Amino acid sequence: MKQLDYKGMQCPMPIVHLSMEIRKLESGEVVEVEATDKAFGVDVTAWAEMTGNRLLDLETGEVLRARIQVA
Amino acid sequence: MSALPRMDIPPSALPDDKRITIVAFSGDMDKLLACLSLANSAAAMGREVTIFFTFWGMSAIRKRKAYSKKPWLDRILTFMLPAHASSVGMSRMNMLGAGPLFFRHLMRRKNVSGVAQLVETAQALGVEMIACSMSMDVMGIQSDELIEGVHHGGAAACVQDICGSGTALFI
Repeated sequence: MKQLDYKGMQCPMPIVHLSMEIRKLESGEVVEVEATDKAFGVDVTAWAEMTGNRLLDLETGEVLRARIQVA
Repeated sequence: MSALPRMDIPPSALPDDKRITIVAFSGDMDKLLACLSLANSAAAMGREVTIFFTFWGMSAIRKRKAYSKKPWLDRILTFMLPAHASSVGMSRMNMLGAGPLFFRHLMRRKNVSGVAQLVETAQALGVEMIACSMSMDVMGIQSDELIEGVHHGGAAACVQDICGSGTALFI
């Protein structure tokens, strides 16, 4: 599983970089993203909804962790 | 002048909600940050984004200042305007340029992207950038003073983009 480390990045960069990485991946691949931007949880949920990529799960806390399946 | 008769126009297509058009009018750092953060996020969400840079907003897509071959009034304006996206002022707390210095320092420390970086990522994400040709003319800005990849456009082209977009913002 591909790991993306966006800890320390501020809005809108985690989503911007996530979008750049996702475009290079095949459909069905799963990525795990770690971020510390407090809005990352709501942002990644909105991003997944609007782009059709599947948010498999989202862990909240000091470090937010999202697993996404590429559409 | 008396009002002209109404014009008959063909029916238009519905606005495409996957398209977003932003008019970047303000050259203030704070407003450009808002404008470009939204543009970047929208592009990251697969939307087709067009930013129409006009008037003070042109500073965001400027890369340098040129003085040669310009009439002297244009040279004065060139002298008074920011040379590039990293030297724009703020709408409040500008304090003769101390405000932006302070904010840029804070933003660097807190790892927040500045206007210039957001312009770069927006271009990488395929955001279309259009420079208002009338503003360029009024402000004496030549094409080679703008960053690469910027197209020229007028108000009619901008209106067409706005009418075709599900969302249009003026910042």
